Amino acid sequence: MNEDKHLLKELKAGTKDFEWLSKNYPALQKKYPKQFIAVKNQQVIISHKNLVTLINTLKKKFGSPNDFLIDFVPDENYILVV
Amino acid sequence: MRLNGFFKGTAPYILFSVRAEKPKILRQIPFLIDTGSDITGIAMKDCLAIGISFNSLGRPVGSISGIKEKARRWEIKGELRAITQETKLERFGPMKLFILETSGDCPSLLGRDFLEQFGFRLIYNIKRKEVYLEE
Repeated sequence: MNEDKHLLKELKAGTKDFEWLSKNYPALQKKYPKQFIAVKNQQVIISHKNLVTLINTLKKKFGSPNDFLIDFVPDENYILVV
Repeated sequence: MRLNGFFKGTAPYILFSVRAEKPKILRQIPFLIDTGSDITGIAMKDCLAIGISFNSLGRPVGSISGIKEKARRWEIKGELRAITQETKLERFGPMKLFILETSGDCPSLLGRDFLEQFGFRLIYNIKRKEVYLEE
């Protein structure tokens, strides 16, 4: 039961961060084109063009990168094909 | 039941908390809802954040082919957890998940396997800025 409460709280926080990213996506594309960003509490904490560098910086500064939403911000010409 | 999604540009995403034992995974991951994908998979950027080393995963079960690239994949069992529209916690699993050795820019994918296994349909309306999975 406590685990569920904790998980629900974490998911609500994560949802807020992703909602923020979604709403601010055009502005983020202008500010961080072709960069990886780490987001927490509706803020970009770190950005870098290299994913491994970003992860290593998060490890050094905060211990674990697992608590951050990590995303790639493409520029406006990017086309995603998966 | 309804699980609300998000747009990144025009692409539909949904947030899940992923839990697995081997390898140990406990992370919130935004998945691109990809009805063209047969499988649900965790992409490289999320694997690196979790601390998964591809070298420790053993032999890959195969590769995933897309239009853009081909990526090695490893099969695991895991559980997805999400908040419903009524802010209730729901668990989906155990289900087959794949670790995907993609490029860094590639997102994790929620494939048709999830929609089929748990009986969801995707509602996507870009004009109304509406995206959700409905059971």
